[in-house]
Amino acid sequence: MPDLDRYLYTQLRSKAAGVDVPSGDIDAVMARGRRRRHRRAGASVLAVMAAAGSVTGVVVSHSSSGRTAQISVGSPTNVPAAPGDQLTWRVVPATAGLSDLTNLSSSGSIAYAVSTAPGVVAAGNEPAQQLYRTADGLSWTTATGPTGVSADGVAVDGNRVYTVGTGPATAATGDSGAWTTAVSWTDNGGGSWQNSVLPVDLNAPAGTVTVNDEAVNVAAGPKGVVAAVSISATAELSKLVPGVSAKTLWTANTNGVEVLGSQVSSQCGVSVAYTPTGTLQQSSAAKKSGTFQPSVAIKLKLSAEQRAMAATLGNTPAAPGGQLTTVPCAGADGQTSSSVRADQAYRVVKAYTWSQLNISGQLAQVLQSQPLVFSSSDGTNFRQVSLPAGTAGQAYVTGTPGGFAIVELPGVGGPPVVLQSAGGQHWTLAPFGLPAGVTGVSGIGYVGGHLVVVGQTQTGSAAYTLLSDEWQTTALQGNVMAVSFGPLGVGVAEVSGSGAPGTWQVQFSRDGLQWSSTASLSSLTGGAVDDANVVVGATSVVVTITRPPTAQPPTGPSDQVQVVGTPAR
Amino acid sequence: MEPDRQALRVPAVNVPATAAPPEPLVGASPLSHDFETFYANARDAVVRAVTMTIGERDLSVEAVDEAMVRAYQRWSHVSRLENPGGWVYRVALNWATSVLRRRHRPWPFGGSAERSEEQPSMAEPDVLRALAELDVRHRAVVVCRYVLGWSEAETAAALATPVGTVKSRLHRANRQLSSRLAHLQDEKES
Repeated sequence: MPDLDRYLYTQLRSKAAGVDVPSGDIDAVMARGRRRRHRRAGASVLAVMAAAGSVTGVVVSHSSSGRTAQISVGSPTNVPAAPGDQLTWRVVPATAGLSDLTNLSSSGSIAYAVSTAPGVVAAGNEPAQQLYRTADGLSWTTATGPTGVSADGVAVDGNRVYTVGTGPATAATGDSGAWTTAVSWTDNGGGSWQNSVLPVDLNAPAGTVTVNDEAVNVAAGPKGVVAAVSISATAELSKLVPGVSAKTLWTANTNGVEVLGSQVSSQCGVSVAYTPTGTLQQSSAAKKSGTFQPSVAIKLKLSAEQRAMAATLGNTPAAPGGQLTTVPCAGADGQTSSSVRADQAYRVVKAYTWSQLNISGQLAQVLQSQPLVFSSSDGTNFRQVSLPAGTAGQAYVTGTPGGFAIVELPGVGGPPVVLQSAGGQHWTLAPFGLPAGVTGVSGIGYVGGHLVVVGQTQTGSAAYTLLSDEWQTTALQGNVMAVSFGPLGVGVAEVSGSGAPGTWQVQFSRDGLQWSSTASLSSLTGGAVDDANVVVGATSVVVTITRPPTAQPPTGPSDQVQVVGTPAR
Repeated sequence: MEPDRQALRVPAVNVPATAAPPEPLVGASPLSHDFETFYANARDAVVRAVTMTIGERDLSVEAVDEAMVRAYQRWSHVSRLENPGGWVYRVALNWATSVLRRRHRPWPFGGSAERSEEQPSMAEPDVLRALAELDVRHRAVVVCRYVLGWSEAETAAALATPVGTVKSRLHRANRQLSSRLAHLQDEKES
């Protein structure tokens, strides 16, 4: 039917061409890719502590002054490996190694993971992730997971295994498309599970809010269980406020929503930067002109020198629905130099409180990109806890010797902050936030007496290790593709470059301070590498390598090979 | 009138006699080993294609971004596929389908993830309405074939579906489209 063919080609392409596609942000996509891979990875550090037997005090202490200190850290450096960090590697035939490993937690010699099946990498479908269990890190078997809940995170505390995951939407989760989030636990290795549905209520006027994505993780320890839920949602202000069009820009804050008008062109001239406390810091150039309140900063007359340094507002595509959070400032070279809050980059022409919009509590938090954090002292009854004001971003939670820590990673506009809590109920800002420039978090954990964050910057990947009063930054050698914290230390699987096939390798550290590297995994195993994950156990580090598929399209699981690293004597 | 004859009448309404063979909007061969180049070349076209498939642009944008994230994670593998854009389209479509199922909400096109409802629900008439009445599997084949310009073999590879299945779905989809679009021809003639 060639005429029908031509008709459909013409008509459908014409219709498709009429779809207005908002600009993409490849940097954000790549950053998400790096850190997504490793929401996957945070191990239960409590197990680490027990195995290591060298707890050295609280990782992050309360600040007596209550101020937030930003530690300036120099350029990442490569730190030579100490003898104890050197591993002897041997290649073994794969038994049942996992593939797309999302989350891992261990207790003693038993570890649980949420992963795809062995050899399943290029899943076009929604990954069929399941709960797996291992006693040696080499051979994994499926474990029965909770019924009706898709487990995304796992934490092991002695014999008890916790998962956090999502289930079908219910009337209680509202019309926004949110799904049920539940913590589940078993005391008999998955023989039977109990669930506790987290109290999340995102009800909104029908059709005004859409939940897009949800990231969850959980940490467990003697003082209880903490679950962090980071929800991405889109609100359509045009459906909430009469007279507001779908193209109207707006921003959200603690009080409600501000409708934005024209841009304030001079904003980038003072190089303001968002801080966790919600105040503004001025650039050194701006400080020279004296102390001033941010609210009047835009009225200052800039010096010639400042004008020369002034950047211009760039364009950030608004989220669907018109919401803006920050706007980048582009320097004369076109590079983004800083960012300003949307309500400073644009004139606010109208404001609505959350109550005026019939949006309450948790949904207001979600629309401000704030995570919902829940705590339970007994692991069964969860209640939401408050986080320090002004913090926002995707939350990564882990146990520490003194309780719990959360790293919050703002999507745009500010450095990650570290929150701390002794029991999971009361949270404060840690005195030392992560260095500015960290754009992604691949995993956090506690090894060798240190809190370690594996993350990304605009220029590469790095490990950040908290010392007594500052972070040590260690450059990693490629894009982080898998992270594992375990009793022996922390292992990172990396691939260098964005091209194909890339060079894969593993870096390992006992304490986050001294790192060793493998040779390329291709040369180590004598074959191409399509994917790799790493599992750090009590006595060894196991790297599972998936070979490229032999047929296109793939007809079945790809071959795997494993590499085992053990500490050199 | 026989269905095939009827089908032949419909497209003659608006198609110029000199219609050129379509060029693929997203090449079925690797555009580049460089992810950035691939993203720049393929992203908008795939967003449009997914939008045409599920009927909801914002969700399509989210879905394609999600698929691009996954492509980047596995770029060493995806870049070696014959059609990386097809992989991204399939992942995005599956992701969007999953979201719609989890929402337990009506499909934007009025059908379900599994099969179409028999009532048109889109406000815009003609070809989009007809497309909306297909179930998502048939719609995906139509979009791959006509919007993205892929051959049946390329569509099969992209959707991880046998070529025979693609042919049969395309055949059924075309028959339904031609019958739904017959009114255009009738209007023209009257």
